[in-house]
Amino acid sequence: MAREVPEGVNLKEIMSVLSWIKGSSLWNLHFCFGCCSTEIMATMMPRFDIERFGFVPADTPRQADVLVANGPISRKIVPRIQRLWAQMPDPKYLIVIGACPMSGGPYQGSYNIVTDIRDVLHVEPAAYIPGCPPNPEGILEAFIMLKNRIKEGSYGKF
Amino acid sequence: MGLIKPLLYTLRELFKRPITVKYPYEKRDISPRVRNIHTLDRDTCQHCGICARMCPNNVLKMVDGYPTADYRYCSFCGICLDACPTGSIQMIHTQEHNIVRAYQKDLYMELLSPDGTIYNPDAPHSEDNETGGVL
Amino acid sequence: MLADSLLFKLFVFPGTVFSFIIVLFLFWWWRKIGASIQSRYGPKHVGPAGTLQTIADVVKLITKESIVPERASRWFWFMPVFSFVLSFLFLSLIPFSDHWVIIDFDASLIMLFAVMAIEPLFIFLVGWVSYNKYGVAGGERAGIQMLAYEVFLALTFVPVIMLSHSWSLVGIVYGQGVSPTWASPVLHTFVDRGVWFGLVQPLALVLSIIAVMMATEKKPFNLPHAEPEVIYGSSTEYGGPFYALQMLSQFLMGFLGAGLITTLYLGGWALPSVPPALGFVLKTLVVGTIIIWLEHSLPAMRVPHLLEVAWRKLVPLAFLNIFITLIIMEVLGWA
Ligand code: SF4
Ligand code: SF4
Ligand code: SF4
Repeated sequence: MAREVPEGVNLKEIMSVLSWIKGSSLWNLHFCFGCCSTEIMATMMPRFDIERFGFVPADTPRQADVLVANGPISRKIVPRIQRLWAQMPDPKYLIVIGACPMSGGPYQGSYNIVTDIRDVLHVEPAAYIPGCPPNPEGILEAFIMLKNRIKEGSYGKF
Repeated sequence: MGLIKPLLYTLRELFKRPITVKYPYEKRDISPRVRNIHTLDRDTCQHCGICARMCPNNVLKMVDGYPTADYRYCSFCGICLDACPTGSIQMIHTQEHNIVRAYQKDLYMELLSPDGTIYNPDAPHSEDNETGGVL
Repeated sequence: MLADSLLFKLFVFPGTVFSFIIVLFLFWWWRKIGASIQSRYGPKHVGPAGTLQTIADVVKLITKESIVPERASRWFWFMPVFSFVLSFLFLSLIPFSDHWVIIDFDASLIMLFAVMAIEPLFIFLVGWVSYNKYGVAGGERAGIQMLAYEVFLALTFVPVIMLSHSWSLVGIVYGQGVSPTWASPVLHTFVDRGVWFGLVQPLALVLSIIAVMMATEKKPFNLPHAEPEVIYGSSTEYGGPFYALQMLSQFLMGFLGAGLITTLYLGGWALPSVPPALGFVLKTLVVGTIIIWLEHSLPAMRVPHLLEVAWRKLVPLAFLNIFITLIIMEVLGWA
């Protein structure tokens, strides 16, 4: 049964404010299992300061909005990353950094590497940054792109 | 004394100007050796395929005689540049070419023209318009 | 009158509305000061100078999914609420001025001390009900930390009580010579017994700043929440609205700890040519800023270190302070 929206309540406007809020405070879970994580650290450090936009590193997966996947996904890390992803509350987003999680990168064809992160998490990444590793501007750009898409309402739902 | 020193240091830092580069609004100077994205001079390319064979990550594939890149794999190492006998494959080092893209079926794209523009915008595998793209 | 009623005090000025505003401000201020110590900007692009950042954070946390772990106790829902209520109890004891205080009675200092002693128990329970090993470990550390600070905190209260002849917080502030016309606190030392206790008790002031930093889990003493060791301590399993509540009560406790120091040592609400309650808030923010600065300057401690420093160094210092105060009071004839 569809619920009636009360008189004088502009649902669209409320939703747009809420999505602005959601896009302005993306707490990222930085689970580093590869060398790209040094560039993510550089993005968080004073030189690029990702906190300017409100994207702070979260302490536990329960408080995180974005899983920042980086590095080669070995078969041993698969249960851990699946568990971390399951522990994050909705709405949650996945950002893929570097060649490794999407294709195996330099490690492609190795016997213990999962070449595509979508095979283990079953989600589409919100943004993908090529590079080995990408520079901090690229990582910042990915976060800003995710933020803009949440603001427009073209990505993610309540 | 050992306790006072860090306190004075942080107090001094507190009143200094931040060193942050406000990235989307101002850009830092990048080194000329930064390799950012490939360009291909289609007039001089000899269709020899050496670049595709030398690439350590199997990024380049020869499509219609020209190398095409799958940027999911590329590590931007620049070996293809060294391998090319005519120097027709090059890399731009400007800030504007950080590529960030939302995921598509595959990230195949034709290499850019030497002036940094998309060579063939109508090609089926270079589309990505609303979901991201070359920034 | 409305502004005099208890309900107004509970829900508007020292109570709910004001404390929400001050907590949101303090969260933003904490991030800004921390960022500029690290030579960066901190929140900047959300609202003017990032002022809307904390509001966005809290609203986002509230709209997120609230996960209750499968094996958690059903008290999981209530514990953050309880610790929030506890920090409100703390708030109701702190005098913002002689008028703007919710509860004040003869022994409010004892009551406040009791509230501070219960708080680590709630931190422990928050970890316990979430059925998480890191939660329990963090809660145990909160208990250990309480063992460290509780004793010398109580001992630093003693000289204040001796000087002001009062167990009530309002009485202690009056003991520091509250009159809107006074000129210089240093002058008062020789004229009258009206003087900020921080000036005659510098050692106690330093000790109680350390104790308040331990009680509110600031950086050198952030053992219950130390990320490298216990992931996020007792709040590891809490996300979404629960975590919003916990974050708010944590910052409220930080503000009130600074307010306690203001009340006991820095003359409470007395500030010339400023309305009393505003004077209190301003002084508290200055103390809070000093605590934030200390927090961002010092490296974290280990558990055995903490206990050793507290029991071998700080407790004897607090005793020494009591004796010095006794002798000086005897010599000067301060009664
Ligand atoms: S993409 Fe390159 S830099 Fe990043 S984790 Fe893989 S190998 Fe390391
Ligand atoms: S830069 Fe390196 S990885 Fe990329 S296409 Fe050229 S050779 Fe291959
Ligand atoms: S090596 Fe140079 S000339 Fe040969 S196919 Fe590649 S780009 Fe063309």
